[in-house]
Amino acid sequence: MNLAFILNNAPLLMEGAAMTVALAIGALLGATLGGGVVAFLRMSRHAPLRYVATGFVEIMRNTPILVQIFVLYFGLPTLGVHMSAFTSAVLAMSLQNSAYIGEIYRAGLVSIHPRQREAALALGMMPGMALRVILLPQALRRVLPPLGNQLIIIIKDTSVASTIAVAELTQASKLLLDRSAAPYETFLTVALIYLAISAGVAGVLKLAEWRYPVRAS
Amino acid sequence: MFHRMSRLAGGLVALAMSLGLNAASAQESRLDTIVKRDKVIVAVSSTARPNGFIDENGKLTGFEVEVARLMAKALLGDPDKIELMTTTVDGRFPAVLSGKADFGISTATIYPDRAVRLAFTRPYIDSSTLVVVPKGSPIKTLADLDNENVVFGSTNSAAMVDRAKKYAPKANAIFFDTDSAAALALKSGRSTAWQADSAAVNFFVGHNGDEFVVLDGSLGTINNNAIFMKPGDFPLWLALDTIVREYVNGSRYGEYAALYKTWFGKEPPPQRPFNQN
Repeated sequence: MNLAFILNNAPLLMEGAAMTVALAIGALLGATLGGGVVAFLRMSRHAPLRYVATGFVEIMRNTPILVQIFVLYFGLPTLGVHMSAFTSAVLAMSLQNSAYIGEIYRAGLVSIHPRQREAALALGMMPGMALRVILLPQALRRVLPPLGNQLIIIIKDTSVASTIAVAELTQASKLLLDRSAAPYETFLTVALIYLAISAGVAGVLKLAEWRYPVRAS
Repeated sequence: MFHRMSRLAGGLVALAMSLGLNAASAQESRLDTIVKRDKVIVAVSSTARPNGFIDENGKLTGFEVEVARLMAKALLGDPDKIELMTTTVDGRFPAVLSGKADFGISTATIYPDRAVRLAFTRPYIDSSTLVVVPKGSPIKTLADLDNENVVFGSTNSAAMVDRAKKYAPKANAIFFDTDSAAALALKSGRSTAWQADSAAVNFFVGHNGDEFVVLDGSLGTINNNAIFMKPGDFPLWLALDTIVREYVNGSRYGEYAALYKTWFGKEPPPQRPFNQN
C-alpha cells in the first residue's frame, strides 16, 4: 500500500468526491420531494391518479438505473430535449428513488391505525389537519430507518453517473487506475471516501431517529 | 510426554514442509500453471470494436481476441485452448494483477506510469489516435478542436484525457467508460467530435461512412499497444514477448499479417529487411 501515491492523487479524487456530493444532494432532494408526490398520488381518492402513480412506480423500480440514465442522456436528444449529463443523472436518480421513497412514505402512513384518523375527525379536525397534525408526524418517525437505507443507496448510485461522462468520484478513480495500474490503493481510498460520505448521512439520520423515536400507538 | 513432544515436533516439521512447498509453488511461474492447466486465461475487451466485441451472431471476436487465440496456439498448440475473460477498461489491469487472468490483450497502451506496476511485452500493434466528426461539421481540421463550442468525447483513459487537455484545452471534454458509449455520444449529438484509437475509428467510419468523416492527421504521437501481465514472472513474460516478436516480425509473421488484413483491410508494417550479406 503506497500512501504517497494516494496523497499525490488526492486533488483528483477530491474533485470527484465534490461532484459525487453535488449529485447526491440533488438526487436526495429530488427523491425525497418526488417520493412525497408519489405517495400522495398513490393514496389519492381519484382512481386515475392512483393508476398513473402505480404505473410510474412499477416502471421506475423494475428498470435498471443505468437504462434510465441512458434514456435521458442519449435518448432525449433525438426528441430535441437536451439536458446536461449532470441534470440527466440527478433526474434519473430522483425519478427512480421517488418510486422507492414514495412506497416507504405510503407504508408509513398506512401503518398508522385508521382509528386515529377517525378520532381526529371526530374531534372536529378537517382531513388536511388530521393528516398534518396526527398522521404525518407519526408516519415520518416510522419511515426514518428505511428512508435512511434508501438515501445511502442513492449516494452509492451516484457512481452510475460516470457512464454518461459526469466527472464524479468513480470516474476519477477509473482515470487514476488507468494511469497508474494501482487498483488496490485506488479502490480502497475510493471506498473510504464513499464510506465517509454515506456515514455522514447515516449519522444525521441516526440523530433524527434518536430525537424523534417511534412511540407506541 | 515423549510421545506428545514427538507428535508436536512431527507436526511442526509437516507444517514447515507445507510452508516450504507453498513458498516453492508461489515461485512457480504462471507459465507452468498454464501448461499444466492446458488452457490460457486472457483478459480482453468486449466493447471496443474492432479489437474485442460481440458480433451479430453473439460471438466474442475482434483483432485482439484473435491475437489472444494466436497466443494460445503458440503456447499450447491449439487456438481454442483459451478462456476469454471480458473486462471493461477499468477492470483489465485488476484482472491480471489479481491473478484472475494470465495476461491481458485489451487496447492497453504502454505508458511509463503503468510500467511501474505492470509488465508489458513488446507491442503487437502500433496505433494512433484519430478524430471523427459529423459530415458538414464546422470542425475541419485538428486545430479547429481547440474551441469552446466543441464537445470533445472519448473514453476515460489516461492517454485520451491527456490528449484532450493538450490539443483542445478550450473544448468541453467529456469522458465515457467505453468506446461504445463515446461513439453513441457522437451519434446522438451529445458530442461534436470523438477521439479514439485508429482501429476503432476506421471500423466506426466504415460502418457509418455516409454520416461521419475522419479528420486528416493523427492526434499526438504513435502509441504502442502491448500484452500486459502481472510483473515479476520472468519466464511467462519472456515466453509472451518472444511469441509476440515471432508473430509481428518473425517466423509466424504470415499468420499475423493475415489476421491484420482481415480486421483492418490492409497489410501490417513489413518485417524488417533481410540482410543477404
